[in-house]
Amino acid sequence: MNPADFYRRFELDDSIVRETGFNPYYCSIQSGLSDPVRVDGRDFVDLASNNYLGLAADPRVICAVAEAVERYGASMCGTPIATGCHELYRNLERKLAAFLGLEDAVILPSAYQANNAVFGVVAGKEDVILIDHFAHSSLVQGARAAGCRIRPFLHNDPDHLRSILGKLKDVRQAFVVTESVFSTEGSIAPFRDIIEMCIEYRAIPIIDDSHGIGVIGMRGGGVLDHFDIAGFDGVYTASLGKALANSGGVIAGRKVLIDHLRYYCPHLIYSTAVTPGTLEGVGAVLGIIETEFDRIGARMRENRDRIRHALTSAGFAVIPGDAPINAIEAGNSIRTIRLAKAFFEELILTTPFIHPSVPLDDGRLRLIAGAHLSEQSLRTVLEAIPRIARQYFAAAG
Amino acid sequence: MSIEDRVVSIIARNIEKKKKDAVTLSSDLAADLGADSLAVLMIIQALEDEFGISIDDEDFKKIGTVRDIVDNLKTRYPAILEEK
Repeated sequence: MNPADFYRRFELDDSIVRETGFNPYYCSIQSGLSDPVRVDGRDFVDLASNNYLGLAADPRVICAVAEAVERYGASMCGTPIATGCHELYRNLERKLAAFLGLEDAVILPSAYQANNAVFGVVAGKEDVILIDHFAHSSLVQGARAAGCRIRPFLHNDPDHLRSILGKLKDVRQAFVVTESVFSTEGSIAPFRDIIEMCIEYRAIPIIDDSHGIGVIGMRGGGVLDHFDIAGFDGVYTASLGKALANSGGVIAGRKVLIDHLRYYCPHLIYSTAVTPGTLEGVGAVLGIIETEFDRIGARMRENRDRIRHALTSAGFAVIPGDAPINAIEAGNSIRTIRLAKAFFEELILTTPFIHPSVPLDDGRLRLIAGAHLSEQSLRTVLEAIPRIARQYFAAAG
Repeated sequence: MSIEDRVVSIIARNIEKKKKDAVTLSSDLAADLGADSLAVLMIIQALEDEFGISIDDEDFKKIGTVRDIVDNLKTRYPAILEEK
């Protein structure tokens, strides 16, 4: 094969961009996540980021990050098993474990890595992984990499999960894998039912709480807080880059397992450690959540409700869900991107999900209204929604 | 129950709610039922459980419709036709 043929394999299909005249991906943002955000020299309302609590540009968080950078520099230039193991690193691991109510935790450079990493360590070919059909790519890829049997179960369907668990034979260990909050729709997994089933069938639950930590639960503690689950006997992963407003991922659970990961998890051992600034940034956010979640969480949910009301009043089908996410059912890929474009033209950033991120012709447009959005920004959104709906439904015929 | 009816019933029980009522013999797994690779895996495993067979994934590589599944099963696993 000559080089031209080789590179031709990677040429992107830009038919959707050509048909809609819009590419919503890789927008170049010229500001931080303040309100509004700056894109292409214009001010936008940010309903696209996962800045649920609006703490990414909070002065206290900025100050914590800046002080850590000033004191310790930009990076420890080493993996956590070597010079990356700054005392801040261990401090945050302990803080996260305490925040979650789990024995221990380990921090990785991303939640994607955390999810990819965990299966290769805990599962082998004698095992089986039962995974929610709509679980995040990081979980599916991680499960596949473990080389054991995978049995998907219907999305958020405990009865279907039970029917599969009941048929398992000749398995060393079964794992049940799901997410707490499914971010393309805002649904929350029936995790209490899943935990009870895991206990009954001696399966190990693995939960990705990336869109739950700092978001759901009475005190913002995530899925375990939300379902009031004590003594969780499974594997917990989450992102530090969504409500926790920094970057990185965490794996938490029993101390014996976490200690094992510290020596046998290649994604951890061979990746440069999360920087001191990030570690202190996450610590600052946890402190704010612990003291202010009542107020900030209420604001976040109120913003969701106001936008949801405007969307449904305008005729949009919004997927029912308890998480602070509004996901519009937008149809096929073209219609979904057109809807994102209509919001963009009203200076509102959203996140479109099209196939293969979601099922074919089941595109969604996700709107996350952070707790920090000003009344003016919310009004911009609420006033724009009826105009967008008229345009969208008129185009649909 | 005919094998056709059994296969339609198995797929309807192992496909996401939105598509349950759309399952017929002529349904295309991808285009009509929106089945991705995990959904196909779920269907294969359900068929294995139901018929007590072990399906080679390669057998399903060229599957398009529910009818194709029925034909494939009849050809590859004729013993299931004798089940009551």
